[in-house]
Amino acid sequence: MSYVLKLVSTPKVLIDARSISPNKFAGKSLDEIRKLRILEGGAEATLDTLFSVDGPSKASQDPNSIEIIIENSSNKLCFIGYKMSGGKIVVKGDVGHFTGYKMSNGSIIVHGSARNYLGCKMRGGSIEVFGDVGHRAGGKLHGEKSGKGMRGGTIVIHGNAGSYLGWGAGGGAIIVDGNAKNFVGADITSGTIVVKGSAGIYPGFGMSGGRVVVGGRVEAMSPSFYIDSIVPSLKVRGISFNKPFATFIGDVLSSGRGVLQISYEDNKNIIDVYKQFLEESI
Amino acid sequence: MMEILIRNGIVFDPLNNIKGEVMDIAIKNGKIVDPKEIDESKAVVVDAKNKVVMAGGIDIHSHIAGPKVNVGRMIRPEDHYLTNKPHKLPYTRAETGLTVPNAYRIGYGYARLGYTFVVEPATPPIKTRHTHHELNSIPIIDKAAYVLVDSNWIVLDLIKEGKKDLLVAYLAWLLYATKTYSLKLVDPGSDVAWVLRGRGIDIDEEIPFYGITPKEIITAVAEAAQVINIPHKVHIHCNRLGYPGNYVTTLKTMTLSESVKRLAPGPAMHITHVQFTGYKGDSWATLESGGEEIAKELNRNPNATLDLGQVILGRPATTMTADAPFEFVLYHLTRWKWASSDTEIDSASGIVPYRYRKKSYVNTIQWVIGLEIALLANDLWRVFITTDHPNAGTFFDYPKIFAWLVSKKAREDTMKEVNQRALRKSVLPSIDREYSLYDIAIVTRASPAKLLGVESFKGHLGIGADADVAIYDINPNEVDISKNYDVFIKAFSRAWMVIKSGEIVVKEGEVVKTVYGKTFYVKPEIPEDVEKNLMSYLEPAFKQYYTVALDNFVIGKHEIRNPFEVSIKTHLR
Repeated sequence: MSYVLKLVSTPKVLIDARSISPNKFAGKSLDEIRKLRILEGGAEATLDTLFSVDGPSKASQDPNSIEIIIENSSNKLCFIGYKMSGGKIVVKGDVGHFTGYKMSNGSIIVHGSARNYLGCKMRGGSIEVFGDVGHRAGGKLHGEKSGKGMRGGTIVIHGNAGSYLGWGAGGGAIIVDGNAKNFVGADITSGTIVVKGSAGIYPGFGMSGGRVVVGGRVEAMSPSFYIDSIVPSLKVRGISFNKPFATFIGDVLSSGRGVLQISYEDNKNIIDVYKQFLEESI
Repeated sequence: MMEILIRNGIVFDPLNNIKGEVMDIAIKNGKIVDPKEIDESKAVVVDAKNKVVMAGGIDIHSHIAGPKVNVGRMIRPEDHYLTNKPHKLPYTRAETGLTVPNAYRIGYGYARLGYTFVVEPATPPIKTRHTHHELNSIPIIDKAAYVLVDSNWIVLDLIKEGKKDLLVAYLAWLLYATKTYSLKLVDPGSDVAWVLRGRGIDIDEEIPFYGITPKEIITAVAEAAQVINIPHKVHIHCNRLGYPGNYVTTLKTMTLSESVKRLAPGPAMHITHVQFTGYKGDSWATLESGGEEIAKELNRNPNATLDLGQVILGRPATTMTADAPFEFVLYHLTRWKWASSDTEIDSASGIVPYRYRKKSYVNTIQWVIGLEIALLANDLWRVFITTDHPNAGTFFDYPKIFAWLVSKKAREDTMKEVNQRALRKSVLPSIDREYSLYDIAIVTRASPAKLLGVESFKGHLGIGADADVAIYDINPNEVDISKNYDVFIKAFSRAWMVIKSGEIVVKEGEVVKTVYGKTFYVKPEIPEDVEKNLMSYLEPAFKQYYTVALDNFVIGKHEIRNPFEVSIKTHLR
């Protein structure tokens, strides 16, 4: 059972669209869905003032059987899939901030780009983005403890990611096909973050557990990691890298035992400094 | 001004000895008048049939403004995320925050609960200008503040040198200069001891460098308050707050109130958030409740009053107090984040986010202490309900405390979820007492008004009182509140109607009009020669200690939005 939401006018301000979620649609008639509350800037509005909504006249009680398709989407739409626990959302276009905030199951597919806090504090389910994403994908909120970010599920990003990818994550997996900016996997306590391309400065900064893999060049390494070994090839979450990787343990600043693995060939100048410690210890 | 006639409400008004009688309340020009004076055809008639009518609530201790609240807002961004409520002009401004809400949510939140007078309990003298600016922006409620004097170097110097007359004159001048309502002592002497020795002190120990004991500070300030004759004498946060075994210190402090030289009838000192200072035992592992002993002492000693600082389990809180040493200890227990701030010569403060957990042994003991004291106290006129917002819980949860007091069933239902080992060590499960609605009206309306000395025009519904009225949608004759406590919590969480100074500000739990309340402060009369004498001492002291000039220190009346001056005849000679 699928609902098609088509944006009729281009919004000029951010829209709190947290009612676009299979959980909110479940058990409602089409008219009730059209009257769901959204916030346009600070002003209250209903779903049908911005979208043309089409679909079956009565949604089923089970959110798992509901599919929502957003056409002609805009990057002003925030909180899509807020706390969803099942079902599917397909976005043909961009999305705004906080997509999939605290979602626990189901899937979101974005055929465009997403802005900050994609999959923030998510507990399960999957998010796939074909474009780029902003900062703090899979992250926690400011001021929260480490490990309060994403706790489960997977985020797959086919484009590039911004800074603080997976900030403070406590589980789950993030896979980026492109590049990421600074502080990949900062403050994570558990979970896996894989960046196939390059990363900015200090990947894994403040991590106390989990695993961060960077398959390309790293701009700078935090000095608070110590080297463990150099492995000839790597396989993580079904992704194979046929090149050597250097494995670091850290971050000692937060007395962590996390694993940071960066490509050896792309970062020879960085890893060679550590290499003497490696030979000494052997 | 609107004329309002509240018809057939079930009125609870302890100051006028009205226990649930059905009667009419008439309001004209912001005051309560005889219903005969009202022209019914012009007046707004409110049908309050089967609804409870009380005076507006008064909270004597709630951290709603001041520099430490702002630091709390800054270190807790996660407290403000996703709690936003957009503005709905023309009635309300945007609201945000949970444990450290913005100024608007504080005002609206209290109004929705039916509270109309709230006191900020600790403002360092040098930062009181900021406190007033924040109080000015809190809508609807009336406000006041207590000024911190425990670690003020000038006060300590004067006590050390034994200049009692000058101390009285200085405190009287300070109250007026900072436009505050009463004197507050926070863990006297501990700031100095902590800086020099790294730990707090008991009331008998000597404060390093000054050579006096906290006992002397408490007695000197309490006696000074008697001479100045302020209505609320002195507000004391006891020494060794937050350490196991500190109930002894609290008992000692309460006994001190008997030895204070008294010039006026009424309680001589107020012990605040007593839950934090009622711990028995040697360590956190052997902690027990000292609530029974404190309640016994309260029943024996008519000179002391106290408020609870009741813990709300399972809800977030932000501890913030001028007791920086204690916050330092708490930070090491929680290991998350901590802010400490210091002011020149006056005081320090600390802020630590905290969450009271139901399954925690220590937190359950803390929850038990407050309720034990409230339920074992004989004289309800000397017990006050607070959560020390936001230290032990937020003021939004007051109805939960009322429910625990009026309903044994509510307590038993909560007791099923808490730490059972802690419960076995306490007397709370064996207490059968239940408050009535009249008792709730005493502890939230009448007795706070009496304690603050405003009982002539606040806290009751007699003729001539300010028209601060709260109406709750619950019929005590039909609903048994001790069984159906959910209905009671629902009714008291969102007042059906609140009238502030003769204006309807809340209707069915929603704010419908924004007015700004008054800020209360005292103006003690200081004889001219005493003031001259004081200034000759203060001018060099200010130059030596403060970076601020004496003239700039004094807060002008024009800096307060709606000033309400309480003139006081002192015993100064």
